Amino acid sequence: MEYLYIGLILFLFFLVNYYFEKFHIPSLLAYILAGLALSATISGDLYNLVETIGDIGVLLLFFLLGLHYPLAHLLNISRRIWQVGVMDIILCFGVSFIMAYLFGFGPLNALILGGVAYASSSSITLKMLEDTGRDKTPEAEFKTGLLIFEDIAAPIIVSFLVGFNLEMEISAGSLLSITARVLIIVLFSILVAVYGFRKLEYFVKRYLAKDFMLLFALAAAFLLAGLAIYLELSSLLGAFLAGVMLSETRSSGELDRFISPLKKATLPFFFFWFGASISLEAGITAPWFLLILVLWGLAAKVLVGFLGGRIYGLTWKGSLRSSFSLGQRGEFSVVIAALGGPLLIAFSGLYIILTALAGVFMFHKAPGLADRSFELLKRIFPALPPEGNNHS
Amino acid sequence: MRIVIVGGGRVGRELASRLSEKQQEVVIVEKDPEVAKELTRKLDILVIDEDGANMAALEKAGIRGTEIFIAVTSIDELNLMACMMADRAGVPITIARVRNPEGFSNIADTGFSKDEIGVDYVINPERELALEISKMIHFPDAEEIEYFAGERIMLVSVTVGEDAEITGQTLNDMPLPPECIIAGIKKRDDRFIFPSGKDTVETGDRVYLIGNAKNMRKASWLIHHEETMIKTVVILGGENTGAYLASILENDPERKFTVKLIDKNENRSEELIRKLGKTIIIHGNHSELAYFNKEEIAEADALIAVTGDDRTNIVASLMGHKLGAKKVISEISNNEYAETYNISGIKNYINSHLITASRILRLTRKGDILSLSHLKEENVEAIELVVNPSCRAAGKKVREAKLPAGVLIGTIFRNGEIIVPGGDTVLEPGDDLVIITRTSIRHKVESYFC
Repeated sequence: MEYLYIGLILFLFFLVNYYFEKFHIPSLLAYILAGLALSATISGDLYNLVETIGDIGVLLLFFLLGLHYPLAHLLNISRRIWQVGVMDIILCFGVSFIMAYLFGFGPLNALILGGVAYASSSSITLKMLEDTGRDKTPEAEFKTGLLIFEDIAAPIIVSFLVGFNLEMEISAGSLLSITARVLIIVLFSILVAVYGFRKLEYFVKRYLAKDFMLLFALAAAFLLAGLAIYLELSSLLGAFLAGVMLSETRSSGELDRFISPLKKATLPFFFFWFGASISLEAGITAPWFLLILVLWGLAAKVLVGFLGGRIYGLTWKGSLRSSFSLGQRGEFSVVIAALGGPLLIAFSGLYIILTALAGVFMFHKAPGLADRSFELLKRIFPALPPEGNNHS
Repeated sequence: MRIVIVGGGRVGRELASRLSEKQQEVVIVEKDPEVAKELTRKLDILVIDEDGANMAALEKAGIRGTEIFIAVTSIDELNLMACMMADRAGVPITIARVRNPEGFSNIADTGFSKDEIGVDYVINPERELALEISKMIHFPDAEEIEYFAGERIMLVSVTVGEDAEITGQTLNDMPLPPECIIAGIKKRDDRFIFPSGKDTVETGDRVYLIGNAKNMRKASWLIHHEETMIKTVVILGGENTGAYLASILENDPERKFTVKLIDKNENRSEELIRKLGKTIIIHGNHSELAYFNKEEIAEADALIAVTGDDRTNIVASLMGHKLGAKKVISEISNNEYAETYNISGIKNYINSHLITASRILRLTRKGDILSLSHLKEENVEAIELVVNPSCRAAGKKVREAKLPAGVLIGTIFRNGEIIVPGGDTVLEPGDDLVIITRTSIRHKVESYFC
C-alpha cells in the first residue's frame, strides 16, 4: 500500500508544483500547504515513511551544499560570521524569550518559544536560493554561513532546553560536552578532508563516470550524518561536513550533477512532512501575542540580515536582500516546539507556518523590496552610495 | 657594458630603449623577423632574429662578453632556459621574467638550487604590478610613491589642495613633520624646480615629499589637506595580478581591508576561493558584463581594474569614476590607451610592462647604486646609492661637495637613523643617500658618490 500512497503523493507534488509554477508562486509553498492540508490523513507508517524520505532529501541538500564549500572557503566565511551569529542569538532567541516571559509564559515555555523563534529554516532558505538563482552570490555565502552557525547553535539550545524540561541540572560540563562533540566531528572532517580526500583527487576524477563513485559519495554523506546523530548533533551538520570533505577532491560540479536528481525527487517530501507535522488541534491561545511574536520574528531576522550583511561586507542592497530572506522558520523550530505541552505545540506550529509562508514570500520578493528600501534609505541618508541595480 | 635582451616585446623594447639612452651596448634576440626589423629601425641597435634559447644565436649576440643577460619573452620556460645557457656561458648577472613563479619554485623542489638553474633574479611582472597597486591603495592621495632603505624612507608626490594652509608660506616656515622635506615642486606651468627654503607652493602644484615613511601621512595631509581612507577594495579580474593583490591586501598586517574580487570565469573563481582566505569572491557568467557590477563598484572605496583587457578596464574605470569610487586604478597594456584615461580624468593607470622594465632596470645598476626610479616628471630621477669610501664626496660637508645644479640630497640613512641633510652635514662613507636629480646629469652625480 505504501507504494500507492507514495505514488499519489508524488502525483500531488507534480500537480501542485505545476500550478504554482504557472502562477509564479514558489513550489516549496505548494508542498508545505499540501502537507498542512493533509496533516490529518498522514499518520502512522505513512507519516514515518514520508519523514524518512524527506530526511534523505534534506540530508542530500546539505551534502550538495557542502560540496561547494571547500575548507579554505568555510574558514573564510567563519571568520566573519560569528559576530552575526551572536547577534542572531540575542535578537531572535533572547528577545523572543523576554517577550514571551513578559507576556506571562512561564520560564520554560518562554525559553521554548525563544528556541522556536531562533533558527531560520536551512532547508527552505537553501531551496529558495536555488530556485531563485541566487545561490552563487556573496549573499548566499553569508546566509549559508549564518545557517551553519545556527545548525551548530540550535542543537546546543535543544540540549539546554531538554535538560531544563527534564529538570536536570544544566551544568557547565554538559555544555562543554556538546561543544566538545561539535569540535570532534569538525576536526574529524578536517583531518579526513586534508589527509584523505585531498589525496583521492585523481582517484575520484579517474572513476567519476563509474556508478560506484555515486555510491562512494552517498556513503560519505550518510556516514558523516550517522556519526553526527551518534554524537547527538544535527545530521544535517554531518552531511554538510561530508560535502565539505568531498569538495577537496575538486570534483564538486560532477558529483553535484549525479546526486541532484536524487535530491530533487526526495526533497519535496521533507517540505510536505514539515506541513503535515504542524499540529493545530489544541487551538490557539494568545492570538495577539502570536501576531506580535511573528512580526518580531520577521523583524529580528530583517535586522540580523541587514546589520549582519554589512558586518560581513555585503553591499547595502545585498544586505537588504539578505534581510528579507531569513524570516522562514522550519525544522529546528519543529523539534524545539515538540518539547512543550499541546497548547504550546499548537501555538508554535502556527508561528512556524506563518513565518515560513511570510518568509518564503519575502524571500521571493527580496530584490524588489531591497530596491524600494534602498530608495527610502537614500532619502533619509543622501550620503549613501549611488543606486546599484545588480540583483545577483 | 654589454646587455643581451631575449624577447623584443613591450618589456624588451622599453628596456632596450632606456638602456641605450644610458649609453649601454644593447643586443636584442627576437625570433620574429618582422619585429626584429622594426626594432633595428627604431632603436638603432643589433637585433638577432633567432630563437633566444639557441646557443648559436646567443653566441652571435656576443654572450661571452656580456655582463647582464635579460630574458623577457612571454614564455617562462624559454626565459629560464635562456638564462641557464647564459649562466653557463659565464654571464655574471641573469634576469628572467617568470609569470608563473609557483612553477619556478617547484623546480627548486625537485632538488635544483637557484644557482644550478642559473637565474640570479626572477621578475614576476604580475606580482610587481600588484605591489605597485598596493602601495597606491595604502597611500591613496599620492600620485607617485617610491620606497627606499628597506621601506623606511618614502618619496611621494601630492598635489597642493585648495584648503591647504601652507600655500604662500616659504618652505622655511612650513611646519613639516620631522625628517621630511620637500624635494621638488612641479609648478602648474609644468616647470620642475629643486626648491630652496625661500620658495613657496601654490594650490595645484605637485609637491615631491621625501623623508621618514612613518611621518609621511602627516606631511602629505599638510600639503594635500585631505586624507582618503580606503576600506573596501573591489578588484576586477582574478588572474595573477588580481589574485596577488587580493593576497597582499588580505594579509596586510596593519590595515584591515574588505577585499572583494570579481572574476568572470567560474572555474577560476573556485580556484581563488581555495587560495584566498579572506577575500569575498564574486563570480560572473563568463561574460565581460560580470565586471560591470554597478552595485559593488558603487560601494568600492578603491576600484582596481586588472581584467587583462584594456577596453574592459577603461569602461570599468569610467564606471568607478562616475559612481564615486575614491580611488580608481587601472592596468593598461597598450600605452596608446593612456590618452583615453587622461581625457576621462582618470589619473591612476599603470602599465605593467613599464613596471617590469623599471624593476629590471633597478637590477642593472652599477656597484654602489641601490635603486633608480624615474619620476612621472620625466626628466627627474630618484637614485638610492651608498657613498663609496673612495669617492669625491666622501668625508666632505654637503656644501663642500660642490654638487652640480639640479641635484638634491633628500635623505641620508645612517646607522638606522634618517637624516635630512643641511649644508654642514658630513657625507660619510657607507651612508645610504636618496638623491633627486635631473636625468641629464645622473652620470655626473654618480661620479661624485660611486
